[in-house]
Amino acid sequence: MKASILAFDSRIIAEGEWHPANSSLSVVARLIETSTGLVVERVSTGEPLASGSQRAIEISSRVGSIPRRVHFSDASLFETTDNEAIDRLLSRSGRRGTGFVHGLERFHPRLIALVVATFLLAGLVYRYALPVLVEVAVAVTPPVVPKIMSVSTLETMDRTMLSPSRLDAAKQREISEGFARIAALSTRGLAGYSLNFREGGAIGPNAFALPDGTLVLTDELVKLADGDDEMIIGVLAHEIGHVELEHSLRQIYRAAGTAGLIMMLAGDVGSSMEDLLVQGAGFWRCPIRARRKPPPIAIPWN
Amino acid sequence: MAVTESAPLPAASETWHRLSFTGSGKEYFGIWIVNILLTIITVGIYSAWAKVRRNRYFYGNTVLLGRAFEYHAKGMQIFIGRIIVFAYLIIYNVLLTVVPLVGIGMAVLILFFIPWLVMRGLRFSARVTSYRNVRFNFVGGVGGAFLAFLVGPILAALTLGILAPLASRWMYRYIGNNMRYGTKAFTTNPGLGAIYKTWFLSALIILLGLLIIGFVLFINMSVLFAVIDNPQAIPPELHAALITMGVIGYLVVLVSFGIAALVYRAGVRNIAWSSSVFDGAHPLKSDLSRAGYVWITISNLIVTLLTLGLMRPWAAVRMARYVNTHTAVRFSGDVGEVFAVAEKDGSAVGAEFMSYEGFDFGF
Repeated sequence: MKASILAFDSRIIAEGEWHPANSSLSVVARLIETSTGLVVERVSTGEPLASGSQRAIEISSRVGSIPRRVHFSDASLFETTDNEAIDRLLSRSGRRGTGFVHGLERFHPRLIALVVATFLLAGLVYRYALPVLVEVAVAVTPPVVPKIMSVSTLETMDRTMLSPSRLDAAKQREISEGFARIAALSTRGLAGYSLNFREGGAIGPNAFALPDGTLVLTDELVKLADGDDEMIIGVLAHEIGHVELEHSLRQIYRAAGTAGLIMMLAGDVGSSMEDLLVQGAGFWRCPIRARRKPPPIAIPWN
Repeated sequence: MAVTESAPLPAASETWHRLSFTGSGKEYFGIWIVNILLTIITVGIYSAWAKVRRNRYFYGNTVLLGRAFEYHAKGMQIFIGRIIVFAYLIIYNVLLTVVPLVGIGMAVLILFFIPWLVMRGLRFSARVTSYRNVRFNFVGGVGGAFLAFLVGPILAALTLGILAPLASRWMYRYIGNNMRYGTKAFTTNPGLGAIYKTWFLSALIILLGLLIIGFVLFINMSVLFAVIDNPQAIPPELHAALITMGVIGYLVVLVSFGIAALVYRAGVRNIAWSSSVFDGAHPLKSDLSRAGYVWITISNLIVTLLTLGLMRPWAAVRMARYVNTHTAVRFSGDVGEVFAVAEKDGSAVGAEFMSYEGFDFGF
């Protein structure tokens, strides 16, 4: 034993390599615990290389079994793969709390409980927490937001897919009157809605509502109804229901919330899985949600 | 130099030194599930710390010449970086909807914000990485990031992928030529011709997918014409058949584009890494097999899906092991001397150069 440092109360903690500050050169060294703190000495000669009190020394926390780093205040570094020895040193010096996360992570039957808890919590968040967040977001959204969203959406659609209606004025008036009767029954009242006639082009026979109460009805749908105005009014009532329940706003927030949740776990689920989940969420959410909750306002007309 | 007895390094070498990966799926599983659980419990806040533990595990198990890489970022740095970006995006979106004109001004700003963010992200990622106690660094500017990460992808998209190799070349040159180990530089110059060769293979795969769809459409032509002529007269059973056909077509497109993208990614990585040199003398190499890379990615995805995500740790470790063992460096001259020289310059980036906020959106 090298007499220089190894006094009676010193003990060898671990073997490893030591780097001077900012240097890639390494020295085969060992870490020694003394009464005053920690010392690194060269294995071959016992020459001391670095030392410091336990308080002044920073020891990296444990992750799996990757090498541990012991940083000295002179910026030199001792590195060892002997994780167990470092753990024992830390627990002797009373730094127990630092290993808490690693304790959870160790391969142990307890992990089964963690897996179950993760699935349960993920389900609960999706089922209960996300809808609450969506409600909060809808509540704090100022009314000007859906207004601006709707104006720009209609403008974009007018420019890309829709063209002016070719229905004759009489037919338009007929539908508008029927529409006015049911819109008056809604909580927003007739003033809360405007009905627009368009030729659908690529979107074909269709009717849709924008969050500010702008409704669009395509000529193709009127033709498909083939004179059955009751059916068209029914469809419009359904669209009013969407607006009353703020479905489009909810859908947007819901999609954003789901994407946000997935993105937070991005690194843990992997990029291809993430793409699949985000895309999938966008795909199946909208139609099912819209169908599952039939807007109640349509009922008086059935 | 007082330090004479350095830890053993291989003497001289004409051989390639490959990276290896020493982690295991079993060990990573615990880290992974605790990361997810704590992220959910803390409504996402822990994800910054989770990233640190994940990266420390993967860097710390990436071994070259018997020594592992190290990841030094702190969870708080990453958390602050995310808060800043998140706040900016919220302000941007609120302004965009409430005061569209200011929003347009901010859209121009975001055009410069993204490259800046990418640059800072690359710099952060490099500076928190070390090997043998010497940190990496990244010295690229905003202009290069603008070209490589904004102009390139937009150009590639506008030309339907025909200029994608140019974009890839810009990106790899931007990253490769601005990377430093200590003060020593890397250089990269992937040849456009070589990238186009691997691009051509991907284009053929996509073409094959489109041909399959075209063929299916062709043999069902008579049915399709009947449908176009008289859309109302579709019998219900034909309706189902049409939907099935649509779904199959969609899957063929998805699979062919997916495989083409993976083949391209592996091919370009090989070309870029193999054209890189460290400190003007030590060449790097990547020799992923394109088929092997596609196979591992797709089988990983399928196994992960079938096990409801529980095999994801195994898949991540499997991919890391594959990519590492196909990445190598050859030191000309004595390896010990290479690192002795790197040592003399000292490290360009110490902890004091670290920003307190960590934009980790680089890669």
